[in-house]
Amino acid sequence: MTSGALFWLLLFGIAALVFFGIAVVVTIRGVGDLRDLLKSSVRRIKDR
Amino acid sequence: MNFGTIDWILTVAYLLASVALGIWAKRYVENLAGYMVAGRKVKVSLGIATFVATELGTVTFVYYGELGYVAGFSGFIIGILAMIAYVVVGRTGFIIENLRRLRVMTIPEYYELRYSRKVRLLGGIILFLGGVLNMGIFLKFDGIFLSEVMGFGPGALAIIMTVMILIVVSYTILGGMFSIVITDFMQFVVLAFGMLVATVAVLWRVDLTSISTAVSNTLGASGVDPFVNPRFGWTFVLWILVCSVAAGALWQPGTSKALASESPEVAKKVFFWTGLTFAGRAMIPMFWGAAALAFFGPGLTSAAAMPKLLGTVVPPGFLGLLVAGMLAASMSTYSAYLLAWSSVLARDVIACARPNDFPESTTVSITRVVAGVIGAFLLVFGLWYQIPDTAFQYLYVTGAMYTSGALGCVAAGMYWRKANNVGAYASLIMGAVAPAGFLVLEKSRDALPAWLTFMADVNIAGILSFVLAALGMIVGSLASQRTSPPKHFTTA
Repeated sequence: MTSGALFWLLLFGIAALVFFGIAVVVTIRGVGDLRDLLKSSVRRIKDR
Repeated sequence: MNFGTIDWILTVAYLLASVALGIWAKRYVENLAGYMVAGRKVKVSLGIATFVATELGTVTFVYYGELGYVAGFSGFIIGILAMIAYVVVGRTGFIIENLRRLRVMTIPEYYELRYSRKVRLLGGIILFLGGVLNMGIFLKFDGIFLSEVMGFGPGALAIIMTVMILIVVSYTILGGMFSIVITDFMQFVVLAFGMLVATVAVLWRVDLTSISTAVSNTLGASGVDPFVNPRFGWTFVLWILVCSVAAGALWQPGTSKALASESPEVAKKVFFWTGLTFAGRAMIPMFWGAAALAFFGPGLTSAAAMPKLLGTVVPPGFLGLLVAGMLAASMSTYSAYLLAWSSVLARDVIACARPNDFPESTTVSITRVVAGVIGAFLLVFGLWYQIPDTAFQYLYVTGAMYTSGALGCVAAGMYWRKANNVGAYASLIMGAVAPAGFLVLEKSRDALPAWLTFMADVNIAGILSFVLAALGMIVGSLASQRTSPPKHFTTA
């Protein structure tokens, strides 16, 4: 394996870890955000 | 055919769930702001999910996979450049912070606030044309991907394209941004899981040494060095960096995530964290493409090589998950783009051609009709248009048609007091000239006189559009300070 290929494969590994890591956090925390969004919208519609 | 019963069940269940969820979200649309920017109530994690889902369509996988197949690892530079651009926009709040503070719903609205209603009309027309042309090839690439992965072959292209567009148009028309945010979240989860499945399957069947060897043997130094690869080079790197900053701040489907955010601070965080995912967004499908080069060798149709690999290495059962993930990716992208371009046509073109805006309910109705018409156009355009160069460059050059002029107008409008109407017109028109010239001239590349051949080079046309737009703004404004004094405007 050439040093150029090794460099890019290492970067690929880091980029993939960051991508899937953020995906896991966003999936967990996003549920709460989604609930808040829908709750606040229902409240506004009822208040009208 | 690669698809088994369990794959079909998973795919159909996913499609039905998407349609049901998208239509159910209609109940939350209470007014125009609800329809177009989800009431400006989106928080950080949800914002990141919807942004990533919007910017990751099947077309993204196909064009990056194609680059991995034809250019090896050297294309990875694109992911790094995109990451840098979006992280900088997120960290500094460049443009997006002020746009969110102004509570606009589309970017051309800013043109009216800072310049005039006529500038908004021109900016809206160019944004709409660039955006719809840019989106024109999405369906075709999605069809190629799905028919290869599922094993139907190219004959199924038209049917797959029609079914997909019908589903997306239906829920986007009904629920607007609310449907998009809710379905995007589900689609984000499914597509991230699908990407993980595909990456593990590829690594299981194709080892890293084989991939590295295939890239070195087939492509030589141009497979690892983007500055040696004739497809890229310094011009390309510079163009993509500038274009990524401009698109990061001013590409309506992406910027709408900032405009839908709870506050300017939330908008910045959404852009920063989404930016960090952008290296992986590009490199993961490119890695699959390089793996296809190792698995099949060179000589396949470049756009079809990576989907063919996934169809081969992903086991039955998981293939259904992968296809659901890719459908998720496509649908989230289409819905956001459809809403973005139909909003622009309704609010910034049709309404701006009149002295006063339409009532909110009329604007929503027009937006819905336009979204349906765009859907029909995409179907026709996607079936007959022959894409120049690789899809990646086509997408960036059509995007540059608008973003170059917009960068000139909005950045100068916010950060340069001498920017005026004349500069704005010049920037918008001159920014669109080079990309439009490329799209026309590259069809008759061989018949061009020698002095004009540079215009058929996609990288030159792209970088030229930003240079001309900046020149248009600077020269136009400075030359007309007396006849057209700048409007005093503050975003505070």
